[in-house]
Amino acid sequence: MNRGKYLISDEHLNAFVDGQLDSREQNHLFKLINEDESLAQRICELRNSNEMIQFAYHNPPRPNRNRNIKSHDISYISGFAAALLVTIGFISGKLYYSESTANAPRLSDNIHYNTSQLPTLNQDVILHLDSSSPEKFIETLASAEAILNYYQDKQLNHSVEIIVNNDGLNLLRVNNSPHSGQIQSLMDKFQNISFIACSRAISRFKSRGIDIELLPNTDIAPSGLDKIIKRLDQGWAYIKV
Amino acid sequence: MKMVDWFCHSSEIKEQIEESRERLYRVAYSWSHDSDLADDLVQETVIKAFRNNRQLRDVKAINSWLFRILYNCWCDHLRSKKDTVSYDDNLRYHHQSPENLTANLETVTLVQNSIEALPERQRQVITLVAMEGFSYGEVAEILDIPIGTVMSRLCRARNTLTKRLKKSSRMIRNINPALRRVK
Repeated sequence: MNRGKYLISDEHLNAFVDGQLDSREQNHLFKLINEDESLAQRICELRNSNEMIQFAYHNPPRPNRNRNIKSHDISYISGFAAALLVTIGFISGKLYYSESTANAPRLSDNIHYNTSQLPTLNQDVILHLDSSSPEKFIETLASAEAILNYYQDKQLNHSVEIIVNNDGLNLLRVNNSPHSGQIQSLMDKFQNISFIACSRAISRFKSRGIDIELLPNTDIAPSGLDKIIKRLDQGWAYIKV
Repeated sequence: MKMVDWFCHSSEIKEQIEESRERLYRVAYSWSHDSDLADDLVQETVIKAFRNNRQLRDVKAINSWLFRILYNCWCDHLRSKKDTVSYDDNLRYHHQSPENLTANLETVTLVQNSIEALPERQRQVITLVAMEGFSYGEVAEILDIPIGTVMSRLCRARNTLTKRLKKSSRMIRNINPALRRVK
């Protein structure tokens, strides 16, 4: 862009406003600004746009939800747990779930679960599902059952929570879940398994005019993600399915 | 890394993550203009940051690292919604009625509408630079693009924004003339 007798690009002016030029270039531009009023005007406009953006987003609206966990409640999972997650995640991807109902799809008949692959697992576990993919439904339930079987064999008293949000909610919907029978079987077989639906996800479905009826004995958390953060804080292992 | 060093390193990261939540939310909101979605994005970002905190070797780079995670979460969201045409995304700015414009006299609404109407990639760059004060190099790292691209997107975004703000101000003046005395 030709500014007076000088050729200065808009990119260069922006870099000046954002403090991205070195001192020599900055000094040079300061001199030009003193000699060219239109250039000074343009710099003012650019600076003004920065201030307007900062002002416009200084205090953005808060989400329309009741949060149950404050930021200071958050902690992080330990390195040991992180290593476990890799193991569990790897294994959960290779699990085979023995279907108790015939109509549900299978991941693969060639994948077999071997509990000997879980030699170090000794921890409460969250399985997080946010998709309505049939394969992920199976993977979630297969992982939960495999881990709980392992704990039972080892006489370990740990829990597994399956937390669903977004479209993952379909796993727990009456008349919508292809696995309602299996879920009930798991709950009958294991006392230490919980299925938790996200209240926000339910609200979103309802706002789209979809009525939500959950399977019996399903818990509801105000926020699925807050629940996950809380569990991470408590040292649970996290698996995103 | 020794255990003690690792623990201190992780504690520092934890504190930084918590302190950054507000900034992450502000940027997530400026990208999505949806408070619930912005909240979800920040929580996803925090979970991923907590889970992967060992990947961060230099705590000084934590801001770029956190916003890079946020950017990835945002891209994942856009990919999952790519078949959906959102009224808000496409029509909110261009189809404003004079009545709405009159109601949107406040600067905040005017600027937010103008930012929202920018192309996605320009919006990301301008918010990171103008709002959060990231250097061009940091933005290039967060968005995984060359610095030259950061500069050109920023330049186009600012030019468009300035024009729109001027135009909106003129329209508001035209549809909301000064009071006149009627006999």
